[in-house]
Amino acid sequence: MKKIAIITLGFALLSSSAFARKFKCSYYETHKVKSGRKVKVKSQKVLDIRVNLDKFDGGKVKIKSSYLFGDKSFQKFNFYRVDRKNEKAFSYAKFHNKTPKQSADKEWIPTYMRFSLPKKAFGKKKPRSFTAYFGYFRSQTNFDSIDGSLKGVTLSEDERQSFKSNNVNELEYKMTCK
Amino acid sequence: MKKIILPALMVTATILTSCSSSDSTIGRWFSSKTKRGYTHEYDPGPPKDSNWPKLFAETPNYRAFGSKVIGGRGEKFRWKFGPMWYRGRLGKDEVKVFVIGQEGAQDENVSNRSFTGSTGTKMQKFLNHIGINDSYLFMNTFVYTITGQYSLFGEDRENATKLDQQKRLLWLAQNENSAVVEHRHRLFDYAFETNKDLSLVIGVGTAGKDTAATYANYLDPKSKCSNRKVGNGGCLVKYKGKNVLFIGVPHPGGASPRNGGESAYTRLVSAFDKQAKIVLKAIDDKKIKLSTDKGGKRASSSSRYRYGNASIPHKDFAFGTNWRMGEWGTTSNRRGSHTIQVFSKGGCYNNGAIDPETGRCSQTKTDKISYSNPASLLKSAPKEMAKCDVPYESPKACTENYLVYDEGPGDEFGKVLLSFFEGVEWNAIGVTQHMSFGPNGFYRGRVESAKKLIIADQFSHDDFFSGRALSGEIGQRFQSVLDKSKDDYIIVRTAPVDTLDLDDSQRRAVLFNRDVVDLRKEVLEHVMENASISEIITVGDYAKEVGEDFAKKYKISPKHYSQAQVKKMALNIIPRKDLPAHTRWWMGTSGDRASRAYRKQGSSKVYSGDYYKLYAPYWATRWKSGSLGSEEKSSLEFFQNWYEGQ
Repeated sequence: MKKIAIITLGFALLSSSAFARKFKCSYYETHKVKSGRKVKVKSQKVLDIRVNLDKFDGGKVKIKSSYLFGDKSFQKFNFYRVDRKNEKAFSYAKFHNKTPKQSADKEWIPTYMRFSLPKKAFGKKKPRSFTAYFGYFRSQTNFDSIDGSLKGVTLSEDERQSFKSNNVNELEYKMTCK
Repeated sequence: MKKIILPALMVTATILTSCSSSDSTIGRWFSSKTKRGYTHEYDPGPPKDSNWPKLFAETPNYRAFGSKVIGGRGEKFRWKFGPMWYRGRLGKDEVKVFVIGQEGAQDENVSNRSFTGSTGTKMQKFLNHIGINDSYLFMNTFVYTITGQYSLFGEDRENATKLDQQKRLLWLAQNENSAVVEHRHRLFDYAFETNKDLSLVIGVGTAGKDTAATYANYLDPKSKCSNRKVGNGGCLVKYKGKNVLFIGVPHPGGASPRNGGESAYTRLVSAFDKQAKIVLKAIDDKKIKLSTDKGGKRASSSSRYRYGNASIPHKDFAFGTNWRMGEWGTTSNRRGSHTIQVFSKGGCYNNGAIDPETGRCSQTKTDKISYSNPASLLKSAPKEMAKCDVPYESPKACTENYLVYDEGPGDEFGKVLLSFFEGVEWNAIGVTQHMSFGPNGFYRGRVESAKKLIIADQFSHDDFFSGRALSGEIGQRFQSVLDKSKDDYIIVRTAPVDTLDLDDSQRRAVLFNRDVVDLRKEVLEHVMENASISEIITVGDYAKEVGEDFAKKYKISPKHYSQAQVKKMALNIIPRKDLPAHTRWWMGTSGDRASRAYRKQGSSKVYSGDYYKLYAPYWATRWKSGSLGSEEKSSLEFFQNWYEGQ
């Protein structure tokens, strides 16, 4: 019995690690500058992301961006897979920095980040390069500090719609990954 | 008799209806009144005979000061598009409510006014609810956007490095010896000194509330105000014998369907409702004196506050600002640190695709648009920029140039210009630009002092962002002609809308449409009647035709320049006197800075009417933060002493 359990566990570990991948993703800002008759393209790397993600469980994400964090060093985060309805219909796998419990409880977090990459990046044959998307959303209020005892507000549909347009301080990047 | 009376009554009713409050005939011109006020209304910028221009121009070196105080490697503020200083009234005794936020975002960078995006339209609704639709002034804790978070949350509170950085940031943001706070208090002091009826201060978000509390304590140390008090019942502060109520509201952004969901949202709405009631009760109980603005409607203190957006009036924006700014929620998004994209009512945030079933913007799919990224024609700062200036701000107080800006066309000419735009069904005659953007910048200069009238075609999309005509590469080159003469000038474009994507026959169909010809002629005639024009110049082939036809009446033979001729001229810059207040230095330099989105169809480009983008030039994005001035050094010493004592 023990042998079966060990073999099963070993197989499970092998299976999950088979879906873990490391990628390096970058976003460059490009500028065109005319020099004489020529136009030169100047590039600056402004976002550097290193991921070590398991297709199902998520993993570690390191992000370097002075523009986002005011710091030139890598910031480390845990990212988790997002469970979505009709997941099979999506060609991209989505991860974010909310734990499964935070997602289930619909908890608010002050800095919400998400990272989406093609599911085929986890396939047997890793693509040479692919496009991924990173989103960064920063709040200026600690929603947990808002008095939760206030009750009795029933929202109208117009109010719900205006809620959806809360897009301040959202930054989204289309990145190239290897 | 009945047969005569009834039709007569119907005709009268028709006349009365057509002269309704939605349009107003003033002299020969009409200007439409919308929920945002009259379309010709605008903000001229800080009054030049007040202290405001100098105060804004004395903004400290946020970048260098921030780096020294907060430490670490990396910029502490987002600076490439410059600061955002205010929105609202700057005249004497015009302000009753003062709103303080944390900082601006990309909408504010495009409009050069604070609180013009999603948070701005939400606060506008709040002000309307308490009967204030005009007498307000918005400012922020920081005139630049900070990188990172203002507050620490969760696990970060256990991180020693982050705790230290936050301590430093809070010193910079709230200590009275901080150069940032010292400058901010000078701005706030002036607002209080020049507005005797200012009786309500609203802090928005954590930083806004902190800043409100800091200032309350500065005004009246006995008030012992705090972020907590401001966010709950409010602080009542004594200022020169009157009461001023300081309250706070949460920042609307940051809670969304994907983050916090309905629960966070319900709290947010509840909080706004509670604070609205506190204000209204304070007014009812005569704790503060806050009269309703003319045309304003004050809710009763028992009514439930309906959260949402309210459009920001045209009079809060510089003339020529695209109409999407402040219309409803956020109307632009960043693309990297050096570009901002604006989208029309038909477009989507981050150019999301429109879901064909719901007609709504998709959160997951994008509309595949492209841009031609314009090349910067300058590699370094223009010579006109003083050594003490920075490319991302308007001229600083180190020279008198801080007083050099265009205050707008004036009331009469503004109405004339808007008549030209509003009198034509542009999309019906072939224009593809979405009309929610309003008119492009289609005038530049001064009518009253003009000796030269320049009739020009459109050559770039820069006018969309600068709010003034001929402000891209062709305009910058042509400026060398204008700068040679001491004569003042007025430039009028052949159309107030974007026609660059049209082919020759399509463009002609627009520019020589009967209504367009008639209305443009009225604009040009207004110039001739109100200026002493001795020379008419045309720039561009269509402008040549327009000019030759128009000038016949005045027996002036126009001088013509083709685009090809202008292209060979030296590159100058658009003078600051032609641009609205607070235009950053790099605007109107370096050639074209703007682009319009297109979709590829085979080998062709089909231009989208919904998206435009602005690009900061490379040389400006490489600008070093510079060194500290004497006041900043002195402030830094205070910080170092304070920090060592911790």
